[in-house]
Amino acid sequence: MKPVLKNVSFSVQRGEKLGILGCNGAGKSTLIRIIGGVENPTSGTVTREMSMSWPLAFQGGIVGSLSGIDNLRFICRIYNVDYQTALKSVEEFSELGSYMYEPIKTYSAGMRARLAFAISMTVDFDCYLIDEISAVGDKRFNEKFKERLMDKTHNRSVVMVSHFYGVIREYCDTAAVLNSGILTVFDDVKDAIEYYESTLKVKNITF
Amino acid sequence: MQQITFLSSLQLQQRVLSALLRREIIALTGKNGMGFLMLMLEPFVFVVVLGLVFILRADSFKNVPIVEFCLSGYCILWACRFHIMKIMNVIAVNQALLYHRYVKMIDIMIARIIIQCFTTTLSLFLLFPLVFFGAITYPNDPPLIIFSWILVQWYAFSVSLIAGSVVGLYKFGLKFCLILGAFHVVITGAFFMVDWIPSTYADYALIFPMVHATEMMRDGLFGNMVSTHYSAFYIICGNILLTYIGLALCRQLAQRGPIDDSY
Repeated sequence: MKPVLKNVSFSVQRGEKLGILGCNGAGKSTLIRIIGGVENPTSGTVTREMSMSWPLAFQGGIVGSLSGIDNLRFICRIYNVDYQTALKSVEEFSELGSYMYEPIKTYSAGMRARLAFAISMTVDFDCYLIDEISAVGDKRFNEKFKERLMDKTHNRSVVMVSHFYGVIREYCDTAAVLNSGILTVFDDVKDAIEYYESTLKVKNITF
Repeated sequence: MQQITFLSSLQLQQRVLSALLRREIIALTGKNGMGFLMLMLEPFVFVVVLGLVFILRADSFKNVPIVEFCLSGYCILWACRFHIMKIMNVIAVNQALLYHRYVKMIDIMIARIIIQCFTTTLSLFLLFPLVFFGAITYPNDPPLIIFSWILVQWYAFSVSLIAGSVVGLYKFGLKFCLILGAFHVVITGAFFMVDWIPSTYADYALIFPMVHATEMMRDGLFGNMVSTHYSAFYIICGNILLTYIGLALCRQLAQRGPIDDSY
Protein backbone atom coordinates (compact mmCIF):
# COMPACT_ATOMS: atom_id res chain seq x y z
CA MET A 1 0.00 0.00 0.00
CA LYS A 2 1.18 3.48 -0.86
CA PRO A 3 1.07 5.93 2.05
CA VAL A 4 -1.00 9.04 1.38
CA LEU A 5 0.65 11.17 4.04
CA LYS A 6 4.21 10.77 5.34
CA ASN A 7 5.51 12.19 8.63
CA VAL A 8 2.98 15.00 8.65
CA SER A 9 3.31 17.07 11.80
CA PHE A 10 1.97 20.50 12.70
CA SER A 11 -0.02 22.32 15.34
CA VAL A 12 -2.66 25.00 15.15
CA GLN A 13 -2.91 27.63 17.89
CA ARG A 14 -6.07 29.20 19.16
CA GLY A 15 -7.16 31.88 16.69
CA GLU A 16 -4.67 30.77 14.06
CA LYS A 17 -5.86 30.34 10.51
CA LEU A 18 -3.93 27.74 8.60
CA GLY A 19 -4.38 27.11 4.90
CA ILE A 20 -3.22 23.91 3.28
CA LEU A 21 -2.57 23.92 -0.45
CA GLY A 22 -2.35 20.85 -2.61
CA CYS A 23 -3.44 19.71 -6.03
CA ASN A 24 -6.13 17.10 -6.70
CA GLY A 25 -5.33 13.81 -5.07
CA ALA A 26 -2.56 15.19 -2.89
CA GLY A 27 -4.34 13.94 0.23
CA LYS A 28 -5.86 17.21 1.41
CA SER A 29 -9.26 15.77 2.16
CA THR A 30 -7.73 12.71 3.79
CA LEU A 31 -5.66 14.98 6.01
CA ILE A 32 -8.64 17.06 7.07
CA ARG A 33 -10.71 13.95 7.69
CA ILE A 34 -8.00 12.59 9.93
CA ILE A 35 -7.80 15.89 11.83
CA GLY A 36 -11.57 15.87 12.21
CA GLY A 37 -11.60 12.28 13.44
CA VAL A 38 -13.66 10.89 10.55
CA GLU A 39 -10.86 8.51 9.65
CA ASN A 40 -8.15 7.03 11.79
CA PRO A 41 -4.52 7.43 10.80
CA THR A 42 -2.60 4.19 10.22
CA SER A 43 -0.01 5.47 12.66
CA GLY A 44 0.45 8.65 14.66
CA THR A 45 -1.87 10.71 16.81
CA VAL A 46 -4.10 13.75 16.64
CA THR A 47 -4.38 15.75 19.87
CA ARG A 48 -7.41 17.99 20.03
CA GLU A 49 -7.45 20.66 22.71
CA MET A 50 -10.15 22.79 21.16
CA SER A 51 -13.67 21.85 20.21
CA MET A 52 -13.45 21.05 16.55
CA SER A 53 -16.00 21.04 13.76
CA TRP A 54 -16.57 18.17 11.41
CA PRO A 55 -14.91 18.70 8.01
CA LEU A 56 -17.19 21.26 6.41
CA ALA A 57 -17.18 20.14 2.83
CA PHE A 58 -20.45 21.58 1.56
CA GLN A 59 -22.04 18.14 1.63
CA GLY A 60 -20.43 15.93 4.24
CA GLY A 61 -22.31 15.30 7.43
CA ILE A 62 -25.84 15.43 6.05
CA VAL A 63 -27.95 12.45 5.04
CA GLY A 64 -29.62 12.27 1.64
CA SER A 65 -32.74 10.40 2.67
CA LEU A 66 -33.64 12.87 5.41
CA SER A 67 -35.22 16.27 4.86
CA GLY A 68 -33.30 19.46 5.58
CA ILE A 69 -35.26 19.91 8.78
CA ASP A 70 -34.48 16.41 10.03
CA ASN A 71 -30.81 16.81 9.25
CA LEU A 72 -30.79 20.04 11.20
CA ARG A 73 -32.58 18.37 14.11
CA PHE A 74 -30.06 15.56 14.12
CA ILE A 75 -27.10 17.92 14.27
CA CYS A 76 -28.76 20.06 16.93
CA ARG A 77 -29.24 17.00 19.11
CA ILE A 78 -25.71 15.75 18.72
CA TYR A 79 -24.03 19.08 19.36
CA ASN A 80 -26.52 20.25 21.97
CA VAL A 81 -27.71 23.32 20.06
CA ASP A 82 -31.09 24.96 20.58
CA TYR A 83 -33.22 23.83 17.66
CA GLN A 84 -35.51 26.86 17.35
CA THR A 85 -32.71 29.44 17.07
CA ALA A 86 -30.79 27.17 14.73
CA LEU A 87 -33.83 26.70 12.52
CA LYS A 88 -34.32 30.42 12.26
CA SER A 89 -30.77 31.10 11.18
CA VAL A 90 -30.71 28.19 8.73
CA GLU A 91 -33.98 29.25 7.10
CA GLU A 92 -32.76 32.78 6.83
CA PHE A 93 -29.37 31.93 5.42
CA SER A 94 -30.14 29.03 3.11
CA GLU A 95 -33.31 30.61 1.65
CA LEU A 96 -34.64 27.15 0.89
CA GLY A 97 -38.21 27.87 1.96
CA SER A 98 -40.46 24.83 1.73
CA TYR A 99 -37.64 22.73 0.26
CA MET A 100 -36.46 22.38 3.84
CA TYR A 101 -39.12 19.71 4.21
CA GLU A 102 -38.01 17.70 1.18
CA PRO A 103 -35.36 14.97 1.27
CA ILE A 104 -31.85 16.23 0.60
CA LYS A 105 -31.41 13.83 -2.31
CA THR A 106 -33.90 15.88 -4.32
CA TYR A 107 -31.77 19.02 -3.89
CA SER A 108 -29.44 20.48 -6.48
CA ALA A 109 -25.73 20.69 -5.63
CA GLY A 110 -26.06 24.39 -4.90
CA MET A 111 -29.04 23.91 -2.58
CA ARG A 112 -27.27 21.13 -0.74
CA ALA A 113 -24.22 23.31 -0.29
CA ARG A 114 -26.32 26.16 1.07
CA LEU A 115 -28.04 23.90 3.55
CA ALA A 116 -24.89 22.09 4.70
CA PHE A 117 -23.09 25.37 5.18
CA ALA A 118 -26.01 26.99 6.99
CA ILE A 119 -26.34 24.01 9.33
CA SER A 120 -22.66 23.92 10.11
CA MET A 121 -22.70 27.61 10.97
CA THR A 122 -25.29 27.05 13.72
CA VAL A 123 -22.82 25.18 15.91
CA ASP A 124 -20.07 27.04 17.76
CA PHE A 125 -16.62 25.51 17.56
CA ASP A 126 -13.17 26.76 18.57
CA CYS A 127 -11.73 25.41 15.38
CA TYR A 128 -13.33 25.03 11.97
CA LEU A 129 -12.15 22.51 9.42
CA ILE A 130 -12.99 23.61 5.92
CA ASP A 131 -12.57 21.40 2.91
CA GLU A 132 -12.47 23.13 -0.47
CA ILE A 133 -14.67 26.16 -0.05
CA SER A 134 -14.34 27.18 -3.69
CA ALA A 135 -17.69 27.86 -5.24
CA VAL A 136 -20.64 25.58 -5.67
CA GLY A 137 -23.30 28.23 -5.39
CA ASP A 138 -23.89 31.26 -7.57
CA LYS A 139 -22.08 34.55 -7.16
CA ARG A 140 -24.50 36.10 -4.70
CA PHE A 141 -24.33 33.09 -2.43
CA ASN A 142 -20.56 32.90 -2.62
CA GLU A 143 -20.46 36.44 -1.30
CA LYS A 144 -22.84 35.43 1.45
CA PHE A 145 -20.79 32.36 2.31
CA LYS A 146 -17.65 34.42 2.61
CA GLU A 147 -19.27 37.07 4.74
CA ARG A 148 -20.81 34.52 7.09
CA LEU A 149 -17.63 32.53 7.38
CA MET A 150 -15.55 35.61 8.14
CA ASP A 151 -18.06 36.66 10.74
CA LYS A 152 -18.22 33.23 12.37
CA THR A 153 -14.55 32.37 12.38
CA HIS A 154 -13.37 35.76 13.60
CA ASN A 155 -11.05 35.11 16.59
CA ARG A 156 -11.32 31.36 16.09
CA SER A 157 -9.04 28.81 14.53
CA VAL A 158 -9.48 27.60 10.99
CA VAL A 159 -7.82 24.82 9.07
CA MET A 160 -8.70 25.19 5.42
CA VAL A 161 -7.62 23.04 2.52
CA SER A 162 -7.89 24.09 -1.09
CA HIS A 163 -6.25 23.57 -4.44
CA PHE A 164 -6.72 27.23 -5.20
CA TYR A 165 -4.60 29.77 -3.38
CA GLY A 166 -6.91 32.75 -3.89
CA VAL A 167 -9.07 31.67 -0.98
CA ILE A 168 -6.10 30.83 1.24
CA ARG A 169 -4.48 34.21 0.56
CA GLU A 170 -7.71 35.91 1.54
CA TYR A 171 -8.34 34.09 4.85
CA CYS A 172 -5.21 32.58 6.28
CA ASP A 173 -2.32 33.80 8.44
CA THR A 174 -0.10 30.82 7.79
CA ALA A 175 -0.05 28.25 5.05
CA ALA A 176 1.32 24.85 4.23
CA VAL A 177 1.75 22.91 1.03
CA LEU A 178 0.96 19.25 0.66
CA ASN A 179 2.95 17.65 -2.11
CA SER A 180 3.55 13.91 -2.67
CA GLY A 181 2.43 13.15 0.86
CA ILE A 182 4.83 15.59 2.51
CA LEU A 183 3.57 18.67 4.31
CA THR A 184 5.74 21.77 4.32
CA VAL A 185 4.64 24.53 6.69
CA PHE A 186 5.42 28.17 5.94
CA ASP A 187 5.07 31.12 8.31
CA ASP A 188 4.28 33.43 5.46
CA VAL A 189 1.42 32.70 3.10
CA LYS A 190 3.35 34.31 0.21
CA ASP A 191 6.20 31.82 0.53
CA ALA A 192 3.75 28.94 0.58
CA ILE A 193 2.05 30.16 -2.58
CA GLU A 194 5.42 30.59 -4.27
CA TYR A 195 6.42 27.07 -3.34
CA TYR A 196 3.02 25.73 -4.39
CA GLU A 197 3.35 27.36 -7.79
CA SER A 198 6.78 25.84 -8.25
CA THR A 199 5.39 22.36 -7.49
CA LEU A 200 2.60 22.97 -9.95
CA LYS A 201 5.06 24.02 -12.65
CA VAL A 202 6.79 20.66 -12.33
CA LYS A 203 3.46 19.04 -13.07
CA ASN A 204 2.65 21.51 -15.87
CA ILE A 205 -0.43 22.91 -14.18
CA THR A 206 -1.14 26.61 -14.41
CA PHE A 207 -3.99 28.73 -13.22
CA MET B 1 -11.31 22.50 26.46
CA GLN B 2 -14.15 20.77 28.23
CA GLN B 3 -13.17 18.39 30.97
CA ILE B 4 -13.94 14.89 29.82
CA THR B 5 -15.60 13.08 32.66
CA PHE B 6 -17.51 9.86 32.76
CA LEU B 7 -20.73 11.80 33.19
CA SER B 8 -20.15 14.10 30.22
CA SER B 9 -19.25 11.12 28.05
CA LEU B 10 -22.39 9.38 29.18
CA GLN B 11 -24.51 12.43 28.33
CA LEU B 12 -22.87 12.67 24.93
CA GLN B 13 -23.47 9.00 24.29
CA GLN B 14 -27.08 9.38 25.27
CA ARG B 15 -27.52 12.41 22.98
CA VAL B 16 -25.96 10.60 20.04
CA LEU B 17 -28.02 7.49 20.54
CA SER B 18 -31.30 9.34 20.94
CA ALA B 19 -30.58 11.40 17.82
CA LEU B 20 -29.75 8.24 15.89
CA LEU B 21 -32.86 6.47 17.15
CA ARG B 22 -35.06 9.28 15.90
CA ARG B 23 -33.24 9.20 12.61
CA GLU B 24 -33.84 5.44 12.35
CA ILE B 25 -37.54 5.74 13.12
CA ILE B 26 -37.91 8.19 10.24
CA ALA B 27 -35.91 5.87 7.97
CA LEU B 28 -38.07 2.91 8.93
CA THR B 29 -41.51 4.40 8.68
CA GLY B 30 -41.02 7.06 6.05
CA LYS B 31 -42.50 9.64 8.44
CA ASN B 32 -46.11 8.66 7.86
CA GLY B 33 -47.83 5.90 9.76
CA MET B 34 -48.31 3.70 6.71
CA GLY B 35 -44.76 2.38 6.70
CA PHE B 36 -45.18 1.26 10.25
CA LEU B 37 -48.49 -0.40 9.56
CA MET B 38 -47.04 -2.36 6.68
CA LEU B 39 -44.22 -3.53 8.89
CA MET B 40 -46.69 -4.82 11.43
CA LEU B 41 -48.95 -6.47 8.91
CA GLU B 42 -46.29 -8.44 7.11
CA PRO B 43 -45.66 -11.11 9.75
CA PHE B 44 -49.35 -11.22 10.56
CA VAL B 45 -50.30 -12.05 6.99
CA PHE B 46 -47.55 -14.63 6.75
CA VAL B 47 -48.60 -16.45 9.88
CA VAL B 48 -52.18 -16.58 8.68
CA VAL B 49 -51.20 -17.86 5.23
CA LEU B 50 -48.71 -20.32 6.63
CA GLY B 51 -51.30 -21.46 9.15
CA LEU B 52 -53.81 -22.11 6.35
CA VAL B 53 -51.27 -24.12 4.40
CA PHE B 54 -50.51 -26.24 7.42
CA ILE B 55 -54.18 -26.69 8.25
CA LEU B 56 -54.67 -28.21 4.79
CA ARG B 57 -52.04 -30.74 5.73
CA ALA B 58 -53.37 -31.12 9.25
CA ASP B 59 -53.49 -34.92 9.20
CA SER B 60 -49.70 -35.17 8.93
CA PHE B 61 -49.22 -33.37 12.26
CA LYS B 62 -49.28 -35.51 15.32
CA ASN B 63 -50.97 -33.78 18.22
CA VAL B 64 -49.42 -30.41 17.41
CA PRO B 65 -51.66 -27.33 17.48
CA ILE B 66 -51.06 -25.89 14.04
CA VAL B 67 -51.51 -22.17 14.57
CA GLU B 68 -49.24 -22.18 17.62
CA PHE B 69 -46.70 -24.21 15.67
CA CYS B 70 -46.65 -21.67 12.81
CA LEU B 71 -46.68 -18.72 15.15
CA SER B 72 -43.69 -19.78 17.22
CA GLY B 73 -41.63 -20.87 14.25
CA TYR B 74 -42.47 -18.04 11.94
CA CYS B 75 -42.03 -15.29 14.52
CA ILE B 76 -38.49 -16.32 15.26
CA LEU B 77 -37.65 -16.93 11.62
CA TRP B 78 -39.13 -13.59 10.66
CA ALA B 79 -37.34 -11.74 13.46
CA CYS B 80 -33.95 -13.17 12.47
CA ARG B 81 -34.47 -12.49 8.78
CA PHE B 82 -35.84 -9.03 9.43
CA HIS B 83 -32.78 -8.18 11.50
CA ILE B 84 -30.38 -9.38 8.84
CA MET B 85 -32.19 -7.80 5.89
CA LYS B 86 -32.59 -4.44 7.59
CA ILE B 87 -29.01 -4.14 8.74
CA MET B 88 -27.68 -4.55 5.21
CA ASN B 89 -27.92 -0.92 4.16
CA VAL B 90 -27.16 0.59 7.56
CA ILE B 91 -23.72 1.83 6.56
CA ALA B 92 -24.66 2.97 3.07
CA VAL B 93 -27.42 5.28 4.34
CA ASN B 94 -25.62 6.48 7.45
CA GLN B 95 -22.08 6.89 6.26
CA ALA B 96 -22.45 10.66 6.04
CA LEU B 97 -23.19 10.77 9.77
CA LEU B 98 -19.75 9.38 10.53
CA TYR B 99 -18.50 12.83 9.57
CA HIS B 100 -19.48 13.83 13.07
CA ARG B 101 -16.71 12.67 15.33
CA TYR B 102 -19.10 11.80 18.15
CA VAL B 103 -21.01 9.35 15.99
CA LYS B 104 -19.24 6.01 15.97
CA MET B 105 -19.87 2.95 13.88
CA ILE B 106 -21.11 1.02 16.89
CA ASP B 107 -23.68 3.77 17.68
CA ILE B 108 -25.12 3.56 14.19
CA MET B 109 -25.38 -0.21 14.42
CA ILE B 110 -26.88 -0.24 17.90
CA ALA B 111 -29.48 2.41 17.04
CA ARG B 112 -30.60 0.42 14.03
CA ILE B 113 -30.67 -2.85 15.95
CA ILE B 114 -32.67 -1.39 18.85
CA ILE B 115 -35.32 -0.25 16.38
CA GLN B 116 -35.33 -3.70 14.82
CA CYS B 117 -35.81 -5.30 18.24
CA PHE B 118 -38.78 -3.04 18.94
CA THR B 119 -40.38 -3.62 15.57
CA THR B 120 -40.12 -7.38 15.74
CA THR B 121 -41.35 -7.44 19.34
CA LEU B 122 -44.30 -5.22 18.52
CA SER B 123 -45.31 -7.50 15.69
CA LEU B 124 -45.15 -10.43 18.09
CA PHE B 125 -47.55 -8.59 20.39
CA LEU B 126 -49.80 -8.03 17.43
CA LEU B 127 -50.05 -11.77 16.98
CA PHE B 128 -51.05 -12.55 20.52
CA PRO B 129 -54.59 -11.20 20.33
CA LEU B 130 -55.12 -14.46 18.43
CA VAL B 131 -55.61 -15.88 21.93
CA PHE B 132 -58.79 -13.86 22.30
CA PHE B 133 -60.10 -14.88 18.93
CA GLY B 134 -59.72 -18.46 20.04
CA ALA B 135 -57.28 -19.31 17.27
CA ILE B 136 -54.75 -20.37 19.88
CA THR B 137 -55.27 -21.54 23.42
CA TYR B 138 -53.90 -19.68 26.39
CA PRO B 139 -50.13 -20.35 26.57
CA ASN B 140 -48.89 -23.08 28.80
CA ASP B 141 -46.08 -21.01 30.32
CA PRO B 142 -46.04 -17.28 29.32
CA PRO B 143 -42.79 -16.35 31.15
CA LEU B 144 -40.99 -19.03 29.16
CA ILE B 145 -42.20 -17.45 25.92
CA ILE B 146 -40.91 -14.06 27.03
CA PHE B 147 -37.60 -15.56 28.12
CA SER B 148 -37.16 -17.33 24.80
CA TRP B 149 -38.04 -14.13 22.95
CA ILE B 150 -35.39 -12.21 24.88
CA LEU B 151 -32.84 -14.83 23.88
CA VAL B 152 -33.99 -14.58 20.27
CA GLN B 153 -33.50 -10.81 20.31
CA TRP B 154 -30.08 -11.16 21.85
CA TYR B 155 -29.16 -13.66 19.15
CA ALA B 156 -30.56 -11.39 16.43
CA PHE B 157 -28.63 -8.45 17.90
CA SER B 158 -25.36 -10.36 17.60
CA VAL B 159 -26.10 -11.70 14.15
CA SER B 160 -27.06 -8.19 12.98
CA LEU B 161 -23.84 -6.81 14.33
CA ILE B 162 -21.91 -9.49 12.46
CA ALA B 163 -23.90 -9.04 9.24
CA GLY B 164 -23.67 -5.23 9.33
CA SER B 165 -19.94 -5.31 9.96
CA VAL B 166 -19.31 -7.87 7.24
CA VAL B 167 -21.14 -5.64 4.74
CA GLY B 168 -18.85 -2.77 5.69
CA LEU B 169 -15.70 -4.84 5.68
CA TYR B 170 -15.94 -7.02 2.59
CA LYS B 171 -17.17 -6.69 -0.94
CA PHE B 172 -19.09 -9.96 -0.71
CA GLY B 173 -20.84 -8.67 2.43
CA LEU B 174 -24.24 -8.07 0.83
CA LYS B 175 -24.32 -11.50 -0.75
CA PHE B 176 -23.23 -13.00 2.55
CA CYS B 177 -26.22 -11.37 4.23
CA LEU B 178 -28.66 -12.69 1.64
CA ILE B 179 -27.33 -16.20 2.09
CA LEU B 180 -27.29 -15.87 5.87
CA GLY B 181 -30.88 -14.68 5.80
CA ALA B 182 -32.01 -17.53 3.58
CA PHE B 183 -30.11 -19.99 5.71
CA HIS B 184 -32.18 -18.98 8.72
CA VAL B 185 -35.21 -20.59 7.11
CA VAL B 186 -33.54 -23.89 7.89
CA ILE B 187 -31.66 -23.14 11.09
CA THR B 188 -34.47 -21.60 13.13
CA GLY B 189 -36.63 -24.69 13.34
CA ALA B 190 -39.67 -22.97 11.89
CA PHE B 191 -40.76 -26.02 9.90
CA PHE B 192 -40.01 -28.92 12.21
CA MET B 193 -40.03 -30.09 15.78
CA VAL B 194 -36.85 -31.67 17.06
CA ASP B 195 -38.95 -34.55 18.33
CA TRP B 196 -39.87 -35.50 14.75
CA ILE B 197 -36.25 -35.87 13.71
CA PRO B 198 -34.66 -39.30 14.19
CA SER B 199 -32.52 -39.01 17.30
CA THR B 200 -29.25 -39.55 15.44
CA TYR B 201 -29.88 -36.38 13.41
CA ALA B 202 -31.55 -34.37 16.14
CA ASP B 203 -28.15 -33.55 17.62
CA TYR B 204 -27.16 -31.85 14.38
CA ALA B 205 -30.30 -29.73 14.41
CA LEU B 206 -29.57 -28.75 17.99
CA ILE B 207 -26.23 -27.22 16.98
CA PHE B 208 -28.13 -24.08 16.00
CA PRO B 209 -29.18 -21.86 18.93
CA MET B 210 -32.40 -20.76 17.28
CA VAL B 211 -33.66 -24.34 17.05
CA HIS B 212 -33.37 -24.39 20.84
CA ALA B 213 -35.19 -21.05 21.07
CA THR B 214 -38.03 -22.21 18.85
CA GLU B 215 -38.41 -25.38 20.91
CA MET B 216 -38.39 -23.28 24.06
CA MET B 217 -41.12 -21.00 22.80
CA ARG B 218 -43.15 -24.04 21.78
CA ASP B 219 -42.69 -25.45 25.26
CA GLY B 220 -44.15 -22.19 26.56
CA LEU B 221 -47.03 -22.30 24.09
CA PHE B 222 -48.06 -25.95 24.16
CA GLY B 223 -45.33 -27.84 26.01
CA ASN B 224 -47.85 -30.00 27.83
CA MET B 225 -48.90 -31.62 24.55
CA VAL B 226 -45.54 -32.53 23.01
CA SER B 227 -42.03 -33.20 24.19
CA THR B 228 -39.52 -30.44 23.41
CA HIS B 229 -35.74 -30.51 23.43
CA TYR B 230 -33.75 -27.42 24.30
CA SER B 231 -31.20 -25.88 26.60
CA ALA B 232 -31.35 -22.22 27.59
CA PHE B 233 -27.75 -22.44 28.75
CA TYR B 234 -26.69 -23.49 25.26
CA ILE B 235 -28.44 -20.47 23.69
CA ILE B 236 -26.82 -18.11 26.18
CA CYS B 237 -23.35 -19.53 25.50
CA GLY B 238 -23.96 -19.30 21.75
CA ASN B 239 -25.15 -15.72 22.10
CA ILE B 240 -22.13 -14.69 24.12
CA LEU B 241 -19.86 -16.11 21.46
CA LEU B 242 -21.78 -14.43 18.62
CA THR B 243 -21.88 -11.09 20.45
CA TYR B 244 -18.13 -11.28 20.93
CA ILE B 245 -17.57 -11.97 17.23
CA GLY B 246 -19.97 -9.15 16.30
CA LEU B 247 -18.26 -6.60 18.55
CA ALA B 248 -14.83 -7.64 17.32
CA LEU B 249 -15.88 -7.25 13.68
CA CYS B 250 -17.50 -3.90 14.41
CA ARG B 251 -14.34 -2.71 16.12
CA GLN B 252 -12.31 -3.74 13.12
CA LEU B 253 -14.75 -1.92 10.87
CA ALA B 254 -14.48 1.24 12.96
CA GLN B 255 -10.69 1.16 12.69
CA ARG B 256 -10.46 0.35 9.00
CA GLY B 257 -13.43 2.37 7.81
CA PRO B 258 -16.08 0.88 5.55
CA ILE B 259 -15.11 -0.11 2.03
CA ASP B 260 -16.43 2.25 -0.59
CA ASP B 261 -18.68 0.19 -2.78
CA SER B 262 -20.18 3.09 -4.68
CA TYR B 263 -17.79 2.99 -7.63
